[in-house]
Amino acid sequence: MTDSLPFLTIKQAAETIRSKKVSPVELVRDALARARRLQPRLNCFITLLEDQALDEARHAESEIGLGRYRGDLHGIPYTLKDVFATAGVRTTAGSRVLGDWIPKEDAAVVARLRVAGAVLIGKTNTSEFAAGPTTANEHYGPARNPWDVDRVPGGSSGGSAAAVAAGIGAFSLGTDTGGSVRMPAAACGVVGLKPSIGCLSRRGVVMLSWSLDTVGIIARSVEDSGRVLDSLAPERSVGADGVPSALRIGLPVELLEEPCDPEVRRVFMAAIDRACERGAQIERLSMSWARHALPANNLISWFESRAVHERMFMAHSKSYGQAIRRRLLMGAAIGAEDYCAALRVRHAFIQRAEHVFRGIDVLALPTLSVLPPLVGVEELEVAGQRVSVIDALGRFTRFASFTGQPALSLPCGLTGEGLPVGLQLIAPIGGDRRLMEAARELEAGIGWKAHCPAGV
Amino acid sequence: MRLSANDDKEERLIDAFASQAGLSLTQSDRQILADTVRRLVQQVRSADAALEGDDPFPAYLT
Repeated sequence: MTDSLPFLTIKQAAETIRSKKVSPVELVRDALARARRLQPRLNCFITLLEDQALDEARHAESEIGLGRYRGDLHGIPYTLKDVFATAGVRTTAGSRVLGDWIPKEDAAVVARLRVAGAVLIGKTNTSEFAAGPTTANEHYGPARNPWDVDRVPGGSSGGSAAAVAAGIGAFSLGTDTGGSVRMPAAACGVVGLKPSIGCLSRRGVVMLSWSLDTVGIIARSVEDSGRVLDSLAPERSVGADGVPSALRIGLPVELLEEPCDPEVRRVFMAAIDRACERGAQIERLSMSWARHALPANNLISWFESRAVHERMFMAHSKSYGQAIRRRLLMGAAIGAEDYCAALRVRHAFIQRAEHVFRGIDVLALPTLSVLPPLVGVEELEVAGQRVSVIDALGRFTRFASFTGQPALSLPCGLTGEGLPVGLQLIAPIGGDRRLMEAARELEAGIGWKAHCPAGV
Repeated sequence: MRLSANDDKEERLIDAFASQAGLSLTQSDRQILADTVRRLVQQVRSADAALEGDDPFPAYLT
């Protein structure tokens, strides 16, 4: 049993706990040992909570022994991107500025997980203040990809995705402003869910951009993601927006013509073909306007993050790392009229993006246009063009960030080099249930099973 | 290539913000950041123009 513990689904782990085959203390101890062993290679943690996690696991074990079982997450180990406030535990946001900040209260979603009995084992590495797609953190060092430790795990929730992929904890919470849950999930071969904007509370989360930030879930399967979502937002778990028997998938033609690694395209299209074999219908949609999401989302995010950080930056600018410093300085050069133009673009964009779903259930795209880059690389050649890593990683994720629509990345296969490729699904706002059902159908067709990545 | 008559506006804004925060930038740093912002703004303005038709005000007001 011990060998398989790290990769049990939440359902399997819950059953072993309920039937007392394995105790929460054993599960948590195993996850902590794995975290300690892999930390020097993956650097996915900023803070590991050994004593606290074992205390909580003992408490869960005692409650369950007394017949007070709270549900599927009771006694299950999990991790948090280090932007979620945790009472009594330092919350750095990957920065030096908040390096010693110990919040008095939990973030709202953390409080919900505490009530559900889940056991927090560590706070994960992130790009400083969640700004950046590679988790190249100059204060805590870069997190690394468990499939190939010379590559980035994506970002900014890269530590979370690396931990989940490596079998450390059953799930993690991250944040997504331009793709920061979906990008690392794709790079690390796990599932990344960004629910509809407003679905999960952001209270107690260190903010980057107030109109874009969304709390998301990283797990090893669509089913596990759904269980965590149900626990965090039970009111969203019922709804009348399910998927009809034949799934209708839209492919945005012009976006798919953007520069993309041929191996990523091949693995993605093979997954779409398998969905067709299982009865899905494909609609090719002309959406030339969709490419506007990338620059307008970036402009809004830079402008808002400058406003969010202004006071703290004035007092502590020299403690900010290069990447976030550059972003804030660029945000300062954006005028209000251009911010308004980006908001106008967003308004028009959302109307068009919702209209798209009149004839389909979900949109599908690769999550990343490239394979996870090598650590330290800032530019790539993609289909004969030089592209910044930031644009190459975010090219396909900005769409749903910009609209606030729910989106999910699931692993759809491996490249010839053995690196995972992510397939992204997008649903209309409020269509989280539809998204999860479509993702389950695609996942079943692809046949991906979570397993130990080659790099660990 | 400079994109507008106001083409040093971005550099001045970056410099002012950096000075307020107690940072000094080299001319080259300032220019790289300003060029990136100008390119981004230009792309957003093009998008705004491409998606026009959703203007809530009648033409005679604009």
